[in-house]
Amino acid sequence: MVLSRRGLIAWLSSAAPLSFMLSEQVVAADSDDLILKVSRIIVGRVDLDPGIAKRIGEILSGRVKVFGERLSSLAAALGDGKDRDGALSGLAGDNLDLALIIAQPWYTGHVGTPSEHYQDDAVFVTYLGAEAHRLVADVLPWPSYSTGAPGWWADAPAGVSAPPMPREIVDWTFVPQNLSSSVATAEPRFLALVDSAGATWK
Amino acid sequence: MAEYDADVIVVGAGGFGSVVAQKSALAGKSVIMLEAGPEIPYWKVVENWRSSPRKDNFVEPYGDPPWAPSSYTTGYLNVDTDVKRWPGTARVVGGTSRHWTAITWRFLPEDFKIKSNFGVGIDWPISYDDLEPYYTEAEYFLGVSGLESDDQSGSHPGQAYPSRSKPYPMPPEAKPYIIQRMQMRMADKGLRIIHAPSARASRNYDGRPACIGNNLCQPECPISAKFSGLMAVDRARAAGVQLRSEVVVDRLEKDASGKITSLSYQTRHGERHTLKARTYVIAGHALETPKLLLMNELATRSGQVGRNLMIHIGHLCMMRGEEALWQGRGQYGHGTMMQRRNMQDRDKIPAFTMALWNENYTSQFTDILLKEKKQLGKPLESSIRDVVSRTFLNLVLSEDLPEKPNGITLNSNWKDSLGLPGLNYRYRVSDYSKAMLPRIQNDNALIAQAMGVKDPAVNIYWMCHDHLMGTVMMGNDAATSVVDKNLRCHDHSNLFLVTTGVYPSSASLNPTLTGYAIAMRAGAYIAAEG
Repeated sequence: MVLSRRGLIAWLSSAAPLSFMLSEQVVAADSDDLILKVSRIIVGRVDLDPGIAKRIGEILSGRVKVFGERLSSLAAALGDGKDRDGALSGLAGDNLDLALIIAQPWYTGHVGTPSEHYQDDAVFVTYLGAEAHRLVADVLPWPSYSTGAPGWWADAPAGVSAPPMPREIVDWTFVPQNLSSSVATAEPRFLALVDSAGATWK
Repeated sequence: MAEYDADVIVVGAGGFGSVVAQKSALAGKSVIMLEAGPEIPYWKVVENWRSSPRKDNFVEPYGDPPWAPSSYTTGYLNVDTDVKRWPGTARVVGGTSRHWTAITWRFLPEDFKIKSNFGVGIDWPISYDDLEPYYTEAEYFLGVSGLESDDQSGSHPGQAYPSRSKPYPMPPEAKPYIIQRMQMRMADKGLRIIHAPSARASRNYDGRPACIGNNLCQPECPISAKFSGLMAVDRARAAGVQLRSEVVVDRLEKDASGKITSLSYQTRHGERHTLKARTYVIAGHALETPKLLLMNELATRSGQVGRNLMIHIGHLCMMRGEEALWQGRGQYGHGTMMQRRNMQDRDKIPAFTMALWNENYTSQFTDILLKEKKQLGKPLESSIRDVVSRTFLNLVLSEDLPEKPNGITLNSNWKDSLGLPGLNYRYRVSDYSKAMLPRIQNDNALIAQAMGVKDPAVNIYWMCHDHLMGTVMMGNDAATSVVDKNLRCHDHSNLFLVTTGVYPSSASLNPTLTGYAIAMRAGAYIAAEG
């Protein structure tokens, strides 16, 4: 079935596209080291895969105007990264934009805006290296890599204290005692929350 | 030299075509099955998905060969629509029921007779009772997990409905925590969640393992817990069917009586071959089947080929509740709400169902956070966990009616690598479909109320699902339909069309189980022919 549900993502993302531009600029020779150094501060990990960093640098150098210069500027703004939170929260303007561009492949595993079809600027970077999945891996298996036994998903997620529920709730035949026989009419304030086409999370 | 190359030739090696081919072969007939797309193993599809940036494109992992364009191939469909997407189809050995979610609802008796019961749409020339034995056969063929005691109509509370001759072959899978919580919180609003039957194994079944919650039902299950159209192909091959892949059928010849006398295909390199058979079956889904007829000016009497396209107009509402539910634990689809499926006012307001979608959207949500909130560091990482844990999706799938202007025609301005045309695709949301919006909003608001939603929801109005129906409609009258109740072309006595395109009405649920059932029925009929 579907998701197209899947179209949602491209549709939302298109509302605020990042300003990728082709570049003819020559990237600094030491950009491999620099992209890794900057990435370590952005992602907050020292064990980042240098191969992925190199790939990100290569992709972005072909897409982001004056990437080398901007990377140097960002590196200078971030400093030694010992105060990661302070360094990142202090970014603004071009430096913030570039940091977000570099963060995207590290967290999501791709660059650009993927579509549901083929006409887009998206490029694959990594799957198992995507930090966003790692951040929730204690609760959600990396899709396609579950190691659980059938039915593990019935238990409360790790770190969640389930409110009291009847023991029979896990059975599909269970019917809550308070099930109303007819569909209610919603309160206007909740109607207002759900009738806004195109609302985002800003 | 033999008069025929085969007793039966099936065009399209998807699930439905394979069922017909298998039944014919088991009846002792010689069968050749032809497929435009390549054969791609399960593991390769999963690996292609993992290494693609387009995690929401479930067609891409099956490839995009220039000789067999899909509905997502750039330019192949010249799209004219007010819907935010169009259905994805896969041209591959195994067909589009490889990338399906495997949700397997039966249609209701009322769905087959919408005109008689509600005064809108078109009745099927067969009834639920005619199809019930084949539904059962299909459920065992696919290996369906389900709960037979449920009222799946929303209109027969406390009663198992629709009736069935055998229980499901497997019990339901475990109920996810998110469904448990939503069931508890939404009950007093009158929103009842029931189990969604699916062709995903809940225990070992016919060589398939039980689902372990990989949360990758589309494009293909990594452990084959889900039934795939490729499994139907393998069964056909085991029965003796000869499969030829990467061959594109583009010509059918007929005699003065209308009987098909031969077909010919091009290989991917453009070499042409001609075959003759007693019986021809086109099982090329609801785009390629009418396309082949239109290219050969076949089945022209009714003027309905390519018309009456139905795509299950839908709506998506994404909300963030007050408690951590962690959508994405388990399978893509578990629970559905049926209260709007069979109401008495279906003459004015379409039937619809609401599915609580359970896909892991971590990467997609992170993209949005980076681009919209411009967060980095700990604020970003905190937001990722917060958004992923509290966000849930409600998917609406509705019944759209057959309307002649909606459909496909040939587009000679676009050519594939073999010189074959593209398609003009046209669909407009009808006033009938739009009439359901207040009801959808009420129900979404009730969910928001029940789940403690405080922020505006994200909505997509007028999307659709990967469901295609209606383009070669079945009926008793040759003047208004393309095939009869046995899926035989009115105009061509030895040509059968086995596709969801024959549906005269769409109901409000996933069409594939019904497609397998009509394929079972047509397959039995074709196999029994002398």
